[in-house]
Amino acid sequence: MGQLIAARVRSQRFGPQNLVLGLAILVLLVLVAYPMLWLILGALGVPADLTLANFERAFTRTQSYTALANTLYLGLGTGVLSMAFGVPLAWAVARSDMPGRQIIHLLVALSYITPPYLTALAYIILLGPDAGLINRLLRDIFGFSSGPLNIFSMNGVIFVIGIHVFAFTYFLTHSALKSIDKSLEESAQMLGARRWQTTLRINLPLVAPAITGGVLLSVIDSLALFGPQAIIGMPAQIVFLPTRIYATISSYPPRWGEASALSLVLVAMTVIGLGLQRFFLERRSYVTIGGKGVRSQTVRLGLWRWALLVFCAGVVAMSAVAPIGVLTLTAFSKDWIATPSLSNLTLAHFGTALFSDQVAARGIYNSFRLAAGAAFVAMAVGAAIAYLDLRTTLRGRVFLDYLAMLPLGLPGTVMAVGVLLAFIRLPIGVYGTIWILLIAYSARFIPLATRSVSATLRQIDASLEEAGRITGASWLQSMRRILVPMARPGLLVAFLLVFIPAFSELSATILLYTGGTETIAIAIYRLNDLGQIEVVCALAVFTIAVVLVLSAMVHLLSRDRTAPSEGVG
Amino acid sequence: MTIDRRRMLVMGSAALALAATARRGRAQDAAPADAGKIDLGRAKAEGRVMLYTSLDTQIVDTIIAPFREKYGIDVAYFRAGSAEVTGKVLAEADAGRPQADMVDASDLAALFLMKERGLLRPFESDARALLPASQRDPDATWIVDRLTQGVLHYNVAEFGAAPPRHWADLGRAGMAGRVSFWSASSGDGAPRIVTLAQHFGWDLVKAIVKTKPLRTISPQTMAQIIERRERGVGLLQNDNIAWRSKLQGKGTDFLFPSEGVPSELGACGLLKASTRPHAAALFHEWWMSAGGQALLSKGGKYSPRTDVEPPEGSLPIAKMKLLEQDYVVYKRDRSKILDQMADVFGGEWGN
Amino acid sequence: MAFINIEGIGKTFGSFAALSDIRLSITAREFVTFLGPSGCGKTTMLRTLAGFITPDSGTIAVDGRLLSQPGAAVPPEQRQMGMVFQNYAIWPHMSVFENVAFGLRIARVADAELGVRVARVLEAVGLEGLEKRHPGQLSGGQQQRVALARSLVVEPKILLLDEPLSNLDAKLRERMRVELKALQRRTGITFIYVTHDQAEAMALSDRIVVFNKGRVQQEGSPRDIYERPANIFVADFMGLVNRVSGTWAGPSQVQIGAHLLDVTSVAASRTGAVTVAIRPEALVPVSLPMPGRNLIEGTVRDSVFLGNIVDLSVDIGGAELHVQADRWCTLATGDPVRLAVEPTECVAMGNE
Repeated sequence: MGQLIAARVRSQRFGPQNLVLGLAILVLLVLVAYPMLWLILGALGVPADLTLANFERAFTRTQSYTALANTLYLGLGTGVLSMAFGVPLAWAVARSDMPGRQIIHLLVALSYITPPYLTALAYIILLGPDAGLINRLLRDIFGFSSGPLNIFSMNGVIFVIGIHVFAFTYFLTHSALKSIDKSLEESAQMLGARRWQTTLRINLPLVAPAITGGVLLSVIDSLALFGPQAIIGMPAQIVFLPTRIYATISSYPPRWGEASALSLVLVAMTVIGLGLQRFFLERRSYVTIGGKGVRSQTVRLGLWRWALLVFCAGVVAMSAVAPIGVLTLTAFSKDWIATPSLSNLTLAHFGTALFSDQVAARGIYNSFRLAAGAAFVAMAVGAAIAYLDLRTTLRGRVFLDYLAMLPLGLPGTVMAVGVLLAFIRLPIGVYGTIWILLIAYSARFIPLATRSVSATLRQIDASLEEAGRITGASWLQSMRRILVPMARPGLLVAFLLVFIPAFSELSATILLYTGGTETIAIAIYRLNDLGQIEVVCALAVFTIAVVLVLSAMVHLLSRDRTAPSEGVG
Repeated sequence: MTIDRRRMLVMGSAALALAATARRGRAQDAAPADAGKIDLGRAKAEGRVMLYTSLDTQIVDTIIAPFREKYGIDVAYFRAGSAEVTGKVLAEADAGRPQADMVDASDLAALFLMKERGLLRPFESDARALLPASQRDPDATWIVDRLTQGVLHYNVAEFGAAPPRHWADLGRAGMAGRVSFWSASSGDGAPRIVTLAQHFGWDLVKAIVKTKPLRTISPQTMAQIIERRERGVGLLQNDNIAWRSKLQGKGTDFLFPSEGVPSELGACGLLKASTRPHAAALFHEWWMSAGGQALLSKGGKYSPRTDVEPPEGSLPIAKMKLLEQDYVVYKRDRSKILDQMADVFGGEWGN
Repeated sequence: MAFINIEGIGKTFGSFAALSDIRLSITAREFVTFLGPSGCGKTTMLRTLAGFITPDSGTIAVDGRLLSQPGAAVPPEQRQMGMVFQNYAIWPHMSVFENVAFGLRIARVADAELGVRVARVLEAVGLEGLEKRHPGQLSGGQQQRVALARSLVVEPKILLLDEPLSNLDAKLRERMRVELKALQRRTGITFIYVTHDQAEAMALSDRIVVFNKGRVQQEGSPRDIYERPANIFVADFMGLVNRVSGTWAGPSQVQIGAHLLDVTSVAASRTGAVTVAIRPEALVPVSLPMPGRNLIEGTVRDSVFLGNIVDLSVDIGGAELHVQADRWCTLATGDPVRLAVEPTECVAMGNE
């Protein structure tokens, strides 16, 4: 009798559940752990050698130090900017009676989803030191002889990145402010505190962890943003770690080891940043004491609300309206230097971008299929890892979960170096094909999918699957007929959350693409090299439109998802 | 729930190994040694040629179109700066995953390196007879396919009747904030600057650096900058880019300073690892033919072939003073030179 | 041989021993309740029975078929059991009909038969006419019935119920109790029921198994367990109880202050300190001593009229007793009182 059950159990060991989940673990290890291992091995000179020479070269050259110092300075600058923009806007939208709060909120979201390298391109048109539209305007009004603003500077890079990453601070602070219950402030006021005292003594300490967390996220993200660092930093002769890594590989002969050593420095920086961020956000828990049904107090500002509106509108004008506006205008202009007029309008650049340019047309096709493929892989692996973490007692599942979150701290450039080193020598031919991009994208965005699916699974009680099992359904049947249909909106959100950044990915792609595997971001980057700015703008407008539509879908789906959950139990 | 991890790994690696063996064993066809041995039938059967090039895509497109028309063979290309094209070829060779059938870069030193690494396949082109010996490899692994002169490119409105005429003019006091130069982060713009310095001294270059010139990543973006008057003048612009800008009426002009213009040799070669040797050779011959080179010239580039006219309205090569680059030295000292560029100009030069 | 045999089941999670050496035999058609506070192991035991948890030690066999052994378990879908979950676990993306038909579809029952069987079971639980509704449109009680119907339609031999009534309001809970009991009698299915509500357990069960700290404290009929709790925990858990400390004065006598009580003992030893458990309703105020009963004299400290009963606090010198007298009792604070109690109602137990 004991024999019988043992045999039955052994056959289950190779049953669908272990097969599916085992495969997901294998994929995760291959996609994330294996490239990370090679990053370290590569830095040590493996396989040719075992040496510290790469570190020595990386750490003894002034170029590296300059890059490191610039990167740190950039992080500091964007952090400050992120706080200066994010906190006032969050407060104005969450707590004040400023008019147009909804629009400001949406425009912050828009500046967040716009790929930052497009913002950078837009600002070259807007703030080029002599020909920039804004500079020309300022000179006409104030009569400066040149300038006055120069995007090709450290401040220019900080500005362009800052108006992208401040959204992190904005969103975290906004939600923290929204979750402070009115009663906390009212009780302070009952004790005789003035308005500003309440803000300073009660609100600020309550949201401080959220602000710190947001600023740190901004800093971490800005360290990794290859696009603006290259597009504005190059002309400004300012080198950052990601652009330095790119240069060590894109020059000949490619210096893999040095790139790996530099990548590890970047990893160390982001890991420290993420550690700090986690530390601060963990202390955030007391903000949500109010729990559900929070009533937040609106501050009446009187005439000051108009001053606040001017500030907020100014920020979103810089971060979203102006860049997207100028890209759109250029995309539809026959001659982008000419002053805008009706006779100057054309659709020709869209024709070129979408159909006739070999690289652009291929780029669009590749971006769609890569984004869809990566979104599917990341969603599937993310779902399996989230399932393992939440529904099983597998030993080491915490480690798997951590591994699935790890790429969050890895800049695209670093991920690309790891993936390159890992797969370049494998006999399976993925290098130089679209597969290596699929691998890099899937690995990069697994955390987004894992987090999203995990949130969905938390909302679905395990008993729903168990009820299926005990009613006679096998694991696979209960997955297919119960869990997957119920989780479908959440899975779709996970899919889209990966699709959106993958569609416009630049920093890893630039190191991994080859002839035939160009993406839309590469087409934009390369066509910009070739000076075809109108076509670049047409592609940019197309990209933003796609991203915008998909983000709107995410928004609608996430809203629906929370509504009919009463039946879920 | 228990998961048998070991078993999963074993199964996974088995699948990988299987995929690997399936990938190998793609036998290479016997490659043609010269133009006469190209088998047209095989070329058509081999299919799409992959070209790695640093040439402007507008010219590449016009050269490919008639070839595709005539033979029904498609040509796809990967286009980037010369150093990046070279880096890609080397990286793919390291990976054992060569993608390119033919490579073209505006940096002879890069072709030297590829030859040294054994990546190039000797091929006797019909065009060899029409080129001076210095412009073709005695071992026939590479052949010069274009000459690029570094010209002085300027915005007409910026200077009116008195544009700068000599390189030294760009280092004058009044030029602060008006000069631009180009180089990708991989150091592409370096050879011609070095040539200039070798002939007229580093002080000239340093004087220009004092004007705080704006760096751009490519000749094309530099043209853009000059067209918009972001900067008034471009140092060592590609002649064809300046030529095109002028032709398109973008308000710019260019000149070949009389004291001499650095001339860069671009060259092409066929890759040993190519799996489409006949199709690639066929395209190589079209690329180097009088017809193909005429299209190059029509796009504003100088052909090394003596039987091809210079670009419309341009000086014949013979009437210019060309400053030639010693590519053997450049290849040997490249790392040192790039460090020097980083010292003088700042920024990233790929070393 | 019993229908269900649970032999020495143990399970630990990390360093927490959720179940230790559980041994139970359950006969067919029995209504057995696992009773205990939260975290006592009752749900873990139920889930081990269902096959969701693999035991670390011990075996489970049903009808002679081994289902669980250390490190191995037949999966839930092959156990022919049904289960009703605390939150009902009704699938929100399926109609009532589809929820109930699920098990039959999995078993590939033909459509015609499936329709008949679903209709029959829906009628049995009183849900006819609601087939097309979606779970969101149902009340808690109706969802409960869907969960029952879904488990019953596949005709399991054993139905596991995990606190099925705890999410219902008091009135509905009473009604469902009656229906559940009737259903069990009608179908003849073995019910294993988990609850922390001792009143529910007593109302429903043929047999109660009291759990605490992962161990079985006592098993027996509701009356057994109420009247002769095996230990203080069980006595306490089954209802209000006076716990009076004393010392052994004879083989079946305990000295409490000035009083000497005849007791029934479940304690291991008969010397030294001892606790005597007495239910408040077993203490009856009397005017004259009654033969064969213990008599305890004291003073009323407090008296509260509650309608059906009068709650008294009686000081007996060194201890205070909680007494539930009938509603005609008129004793007031400060009145002297004599309390009579049967020796069988005084259960002496160890101090563990």
